[in-house]
Amino acid sequence: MSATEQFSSRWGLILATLGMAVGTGNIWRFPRIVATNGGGAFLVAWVVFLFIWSVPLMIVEFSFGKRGRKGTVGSFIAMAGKGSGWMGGWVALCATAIMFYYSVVAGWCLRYFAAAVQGGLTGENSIGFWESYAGSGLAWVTNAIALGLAITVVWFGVRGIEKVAKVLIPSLFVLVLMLAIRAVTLPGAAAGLEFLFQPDWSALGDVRIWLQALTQNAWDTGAGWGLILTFAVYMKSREDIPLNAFLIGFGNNSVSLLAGIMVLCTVFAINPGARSEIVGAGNEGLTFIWMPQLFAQMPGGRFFMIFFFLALSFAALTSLISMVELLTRNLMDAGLKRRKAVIVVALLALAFSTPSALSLSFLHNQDWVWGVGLMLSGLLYAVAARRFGVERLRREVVNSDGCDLPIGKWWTFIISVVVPIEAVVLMIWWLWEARGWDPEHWLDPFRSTSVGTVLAQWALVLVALLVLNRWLGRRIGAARAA
Amino acid sequence: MSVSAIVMMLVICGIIWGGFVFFLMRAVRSESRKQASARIGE
Repeated sequence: MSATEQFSSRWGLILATLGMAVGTGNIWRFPRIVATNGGGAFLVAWVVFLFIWSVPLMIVEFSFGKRGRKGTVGSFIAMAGKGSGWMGGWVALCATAIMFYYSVVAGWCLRYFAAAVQGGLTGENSIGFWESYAGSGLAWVTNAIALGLAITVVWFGVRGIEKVAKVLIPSLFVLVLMLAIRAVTLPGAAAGLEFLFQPDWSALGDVRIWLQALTQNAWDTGAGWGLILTFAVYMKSREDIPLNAFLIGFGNNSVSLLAGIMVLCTVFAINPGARSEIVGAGNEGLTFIWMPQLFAQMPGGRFFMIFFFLALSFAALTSLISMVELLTRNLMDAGLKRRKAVIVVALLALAFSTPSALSLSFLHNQDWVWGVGLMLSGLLYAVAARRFGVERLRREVVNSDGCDLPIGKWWTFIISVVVPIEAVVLMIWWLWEARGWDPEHWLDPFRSTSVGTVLAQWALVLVALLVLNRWLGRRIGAARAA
Repeated sequence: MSVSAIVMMLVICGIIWGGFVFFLMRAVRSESRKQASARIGE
């Protein structure tokens, strides 16, 4: 690893990692999921999984990156042996496949920010605006712009990532806080708070609530995606791990909570009668169709709509930057210099994001396949940690020099036993649920959200990785990183 | 708002936001200590 590629300070690392963690999932998915899964009771389960999925896995990621000092493939080899390159490859490919449609989403956010500034988004035209834009050539253009911005930042390396994070993340926090304050001060907003926090205790007896809360943590905090590992490669050698992991986990969930308050208070204040329709509208429906309509009816709504889409754009871009860096890092470990690696990533991303930009059905398919794939990534982290020795990882890496918050053996138990069980249960549950969505075609690999499409695409990737495993070990495992 | 909703709001927000501030303050203090040690070492 180049000696100059390091975060200049703890705060640079924390802000960059918060930028990775805080994304569109915090702002558009969390409010919907809370609203449709028992409100306050869901939040209890959600907090529990922060402690028994998100933060423990973040600690594993930090440990791997800090010790391995290579991207996902190289660090998995360094930590779990030469035969483990395929696991790091899975983590990388999953995050990369997500990047290929996440850039499209980032482009949507930028487009809506621009439209809000120009005054082109009114309440009446929100459906027509979305339907004429999503999947169009313009969506590919905005996707390319979002990629261009992320690529430019990564071109300048870790210092570029740090500089951008130091501006965007504090700004994002301020924007979301302002929007939440505006929302709770609207007449009728208290009903939104009631809806969000009123506990339906009977819901805690429903295992689906727990699985939804675990899923939200898995998709929201970025734990187990390989992105924290990537940034951890650039940590100082005496940098703390556990306190940083807790700070990022709680910081990420703080933004989710603010976003939940913002969205639900706005819905209940402006259009309480449509709340079921609004929260059931899906991520895109809530964000790009309903929110413009709600802002249009709010005093000063145009300005708040600008802030909303600006915050969403910041969240999307900072997450996209981390995904670009993940692939770049792996290519650098394979021997490419940063600039060449970035160019390769840019070309690959432009090409492979095109189907998602032009087809919502394809985008939803990829979101489904690789969203569940992230759960396998989490499992692979636990497996790799066990191969290294979880207790050894705790003693030698987590609680080593620079540690500000020594972690007890509870963490060893969580990683060794709890996380694998959670990951397996979650994968099985989601695939089982998918069977029920379209019972006649659940195995059809060409259906957007079938079990068949997951199994087919996973099989292709896993076979390729296993075939290339030895080559990965030779090329990346032994090589000195660029 | 109902009492139970208010209590839940205080508990959840207290844990999440309070936790964030707690860990942030701890990190700030830790960094100050480390920088002070580094200056003494010089």
